[in-house]
Amino acid sequence: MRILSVRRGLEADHSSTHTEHIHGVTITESYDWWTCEFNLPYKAKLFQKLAKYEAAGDCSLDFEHQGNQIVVSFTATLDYGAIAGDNAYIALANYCLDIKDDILAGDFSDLELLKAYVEGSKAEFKAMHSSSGIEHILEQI
Amino acid sequence: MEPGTDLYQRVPTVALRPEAFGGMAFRGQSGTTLELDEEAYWLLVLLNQPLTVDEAARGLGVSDCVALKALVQELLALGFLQTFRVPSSNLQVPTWNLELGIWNRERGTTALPTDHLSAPESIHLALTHRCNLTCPCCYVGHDATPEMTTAQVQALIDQAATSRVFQLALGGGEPLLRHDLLEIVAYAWQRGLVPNVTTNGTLLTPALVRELAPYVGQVQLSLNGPDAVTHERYRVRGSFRPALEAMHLLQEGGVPFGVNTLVTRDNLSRLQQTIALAVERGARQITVLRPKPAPDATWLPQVSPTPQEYRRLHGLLARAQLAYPRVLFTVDCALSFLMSDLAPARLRRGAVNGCAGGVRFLTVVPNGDAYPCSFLTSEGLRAGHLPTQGLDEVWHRAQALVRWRQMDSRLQGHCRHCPTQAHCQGCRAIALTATGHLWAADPGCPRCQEGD
Repeated sequence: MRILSVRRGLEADHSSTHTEHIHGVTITESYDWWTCEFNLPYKAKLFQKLAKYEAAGDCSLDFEHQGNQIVVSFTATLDYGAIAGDNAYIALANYCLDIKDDILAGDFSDLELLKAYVEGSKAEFKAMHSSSGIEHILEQI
Repeated sequence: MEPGTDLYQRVPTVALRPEAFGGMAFRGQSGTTLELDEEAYWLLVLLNQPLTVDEAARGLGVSDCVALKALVQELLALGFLQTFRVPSSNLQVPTWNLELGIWNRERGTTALPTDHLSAPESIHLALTHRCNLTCPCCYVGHDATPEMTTAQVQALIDQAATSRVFQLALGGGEPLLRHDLLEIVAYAWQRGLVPNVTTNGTLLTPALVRELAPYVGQVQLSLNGPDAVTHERYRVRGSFRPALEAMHLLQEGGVPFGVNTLVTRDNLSRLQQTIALAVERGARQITVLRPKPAPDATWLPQVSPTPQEYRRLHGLLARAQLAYPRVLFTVDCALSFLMSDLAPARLRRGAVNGCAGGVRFLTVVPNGDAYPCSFLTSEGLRAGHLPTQGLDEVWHRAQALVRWRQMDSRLQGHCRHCPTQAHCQGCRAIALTATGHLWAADPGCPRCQEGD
């Protein structure tokens, strides 16, 4: 008993047909713990590289191989002052898109920073700078 | 019935159609199409009358009220159901006709095709190949193809209404060159289809907008850039200002409109500004189009974005969605590969199934000939002539469509083995033009180019 698919938008000639663009970033929040998830295309070499950044503590950074996807997920707490009136969901979703672009371009500095963040290495984390700039809104507990 | 009880009823304008897998529902106001399993479909059938969840459960003969309640809430959120409460003053509650067992009675009594839909979801009807512009990016040759008469178009609309086609996408050429456009739009609306019109906008007038407003679902305009230089690079000179004026007219006239943006190497860097301009002018939908083969064979390879640029496009659209949450962002089915790194379950739920030609829609050219795709109108792909053969005959039995729907087993090269084949299949028009083979790998796909 379920909806199999949902497609939004009226059809226009000249556009072949269209489908809603799905951006593939999922952000959830529970009691101020934020979980961010996005996918990358699976490539064995990329997955091996990413595995080096797995980290777990109070927060976590995970990479899971699911079919032809790599699911990247991390949990974090946020410095709401740094978000300064912005919508936390939108801010995090934009950071995730930046991180995804960086990884696909071969830049892993965001993951290095997230690993240091998750492992609670305060001094290391404070000294690091990522491509996306996500360090500005993360709060270490 | 207790006062204060929640009742649910299907929104009256929702169109329903049974399919072998269950059924489909379409809501014209938002253009939302649902595919439903059997129980969910028959729930919507049953809710043509106001019922409580418990009554609906009895009517369907299901015991899982938790799942039913969740489904009702989902349909409510999507705008397919409305809810109200039995007021405390209204104790004279009529006895609802539950049509108990309707689902079991009707199930299996209708012969529905299992390998394709019972009818197209939409018909893309090019009313004319005439146009008042000569844009170099246009795939339509300005030929003198004979055009169906008003009566023939209306007969086609009648057949579509009988088959429960949901939408009629009217285009061309320039459809506003047809003197009977308004008549056709109004007729389609009266027959229960949602007519949408794709136009270059140059011929819109305040009077025409006023006349279209009650009948048209949406008007789609072209905007390829935020300034005249970018917009007109692959359109005719002087077409930027009329495009802006058309948006103004439509917004003033209260006609919902969207924008088609053809993305090329030259305008990708201006896409954010293009989107911002369209949204500022009132566009409620942005549809990004991939360049397709044009009469000038050198055009497509010159303008097609690179794999890196396509990856950038995916990010740009994602950010635009976040920036403009009330605007609907869509991509043409030739860009399905943009979403190929998403989870399959999510793609299924979003109905990202790749090429939809001959599967979800049918293309009809001005003389009434039908094809699976607007961009592939060679004799070998002609499915039939609708005015003489009829929609049902062509849709269910034309060999061109039967072969087309077997695409998965015919694909070659990278597209045959691609792990995302179920959600993409590449663009056949581009593959044919680039390689000479209809089923060859789509050479413009980033996955194909990068060997993923």
